[in-house]
Amino acid sequence: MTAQLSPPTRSSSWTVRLRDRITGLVPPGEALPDHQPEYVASWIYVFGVLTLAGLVVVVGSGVVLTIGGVAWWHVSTLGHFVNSMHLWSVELFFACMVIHLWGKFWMAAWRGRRTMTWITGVVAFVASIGTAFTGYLSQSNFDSQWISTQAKDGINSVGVGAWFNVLNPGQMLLWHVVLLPLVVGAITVLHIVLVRRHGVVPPIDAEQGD
Amino acid sequence: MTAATEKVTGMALMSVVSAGTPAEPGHYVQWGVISISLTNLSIILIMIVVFVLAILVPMGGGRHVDVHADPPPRDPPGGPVDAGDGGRR
Repeated sequence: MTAQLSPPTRSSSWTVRLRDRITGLVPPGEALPDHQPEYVASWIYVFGVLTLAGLVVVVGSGVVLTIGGVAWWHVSTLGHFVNSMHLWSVELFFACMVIHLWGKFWMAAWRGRRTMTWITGVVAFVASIGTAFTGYLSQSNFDSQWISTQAKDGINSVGVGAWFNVLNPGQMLLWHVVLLPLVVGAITVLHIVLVRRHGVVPPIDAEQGD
Repeated sequence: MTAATEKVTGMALMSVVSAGTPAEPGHYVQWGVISISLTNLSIILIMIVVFVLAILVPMGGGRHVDVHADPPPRDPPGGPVDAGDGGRR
């Protein structure tokens, strides 16, 4: 019973393969770069990270709201404040994301093998709309009732009302605080990794070495 | 339910409704088939203005910002990496 364990080869160890895969996602030094090409010194390049900052505040205020519950903001000034912070950070998040989208669209940001970067951005945008929609349905007020009754016919017309019932506030709340944030978070991480992997898209008329 | 109870219930409901809804309907802009609230239109116009300013206003108050000048680029093992070269991979 003195079987000797030989060290695993690089190809046989899944941890090594996973580690190599993770470290190879972005070029060395590009995960958190400390310098950028000269053309990045423009305000239009700021709105991507502003969107990310907005998302951080959205998630943070949302986490606090989950502690108090959906009715907290009706009965507490602190709850009302956190709820308002959640709403307005969402407004800024979407405004920055749309300006970021406009900038990247007119820049044709899918150039240079950046197609998946563009597509993950589009998916993040659509998933964010769904997350905001379920948030409006979770306000626990007349507004959420109005929106849900107006939305049910549209949802039913595309045949998903049996699985996504906008008249079920419990289901909508769980989609809002669990499922869709996971989707938005995962897509956002993938989007950022792709941006760091392929680099920030240069302007159309940028010269090599700018 | 007596008439008095019904009246009290109705008043309570009205007070809740009035507290949760605006006193006046919103202002809307009509242009053919397009109908948009003045608030939403204003937000869209502000976003367009911010977008144009973000393109036109130079970063750093008009000063030339040489982001490569300081600190010097840190070359990774195996050679320099050209960030944002329009098709690194």
